[in-house]
Amino acid sequence: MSDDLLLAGLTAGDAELAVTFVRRFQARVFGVALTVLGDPALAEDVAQQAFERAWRHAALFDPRRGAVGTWLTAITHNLAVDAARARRAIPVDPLELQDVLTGETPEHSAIAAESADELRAAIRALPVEQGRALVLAAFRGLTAREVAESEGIPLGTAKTRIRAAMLRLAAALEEQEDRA
Amino acid sequence: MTAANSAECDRFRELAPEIALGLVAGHERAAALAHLQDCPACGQHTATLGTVHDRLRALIPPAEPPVGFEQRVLDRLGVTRPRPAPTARWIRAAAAAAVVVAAFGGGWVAGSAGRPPAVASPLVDGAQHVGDIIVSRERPNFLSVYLDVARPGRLTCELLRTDGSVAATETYDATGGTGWWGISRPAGDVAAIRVSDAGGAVVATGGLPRP
Repeated sequence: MSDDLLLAGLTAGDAELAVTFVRRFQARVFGVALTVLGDPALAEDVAQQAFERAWRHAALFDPRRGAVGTWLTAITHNLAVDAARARRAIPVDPLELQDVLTGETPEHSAIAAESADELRAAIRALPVEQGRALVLAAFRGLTAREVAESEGIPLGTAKTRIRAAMLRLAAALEEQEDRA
Repeated sequence: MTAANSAECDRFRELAPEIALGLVAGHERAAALAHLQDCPACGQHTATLGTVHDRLRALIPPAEPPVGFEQRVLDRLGVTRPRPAPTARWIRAAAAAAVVVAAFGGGWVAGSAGRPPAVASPLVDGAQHVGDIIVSRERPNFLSVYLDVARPGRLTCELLRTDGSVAATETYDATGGTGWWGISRPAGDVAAIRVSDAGGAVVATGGLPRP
């Protein structure tokens, strides 16, 4: 059963569909929570919350705006960022996180792996300071002001680094799509 | 971007990466969203950056959660594995209905016409109710079969004509709990379903529901 149909069935409260849904996505959801938080117990709590929120709001999912997995990992990421703020979780080192993102890890599908390789290459090509700012903003959910404090740099510099990194990655993705 | 609003667009685009990452709040966010309503070009730019964020998240490697995670999630959702019961039939029908709506783009609201959106008939094993056959009124030639599986393994589902001959066959690898599969009904006088286990023993039979 496709992800979309599974989620549609989930709205009806079918237990078997709920089981299938959890089994299909639990590793991705837990992976996002663990990567952001670095604490397995906290990550499990966040992952559980993410499934609960998806269950409650399944009817609001709009397949025209993206895939179920993207929606669910966005929910998880938002919850993980909130949890990191609320509980003052020990921050994951940006360089360590960058290594996780750019490492050779099994992907969800051959197609995903192919396109992911190009994105990883684009991240590796970023200047170190831009990569750190990007990771802190995009994964730890730090605002530009918080990135500035964390890195000991002026606010304007933090904003510039985040923006430059995002625009470089966007350009890399556009090039990739043009080639395709 | 037009000349008239280029200055506003320039200001917005300074902030667009942080907007796309969900890092902007308060009046700054409100002002940015107001600009987006009037500026499709900046909207497209922000959407592109939002895609970057989605793709970055997709790079995060999956990680197996601790043992028992699945059950703890189900407990949190208040979900228990269903046993066949008369009330379960319409929960299943609603699930099937939701799937049909999703598959065919909707335009159909469950029960809105004053009659059930789907019809169902029981699958039985002797005198025991072990499952249901559900047919959406919107898709009468597709049967959704739910069966409470006693033993995991390959099941063979046959559609039988009134003379007992087999009109169509579907196999399903059951893992336990309630199994679900779909099977298309061919044209003709198909009247019943027979489900057999891997050893050929019949585990469920039932007549097709009447619209």
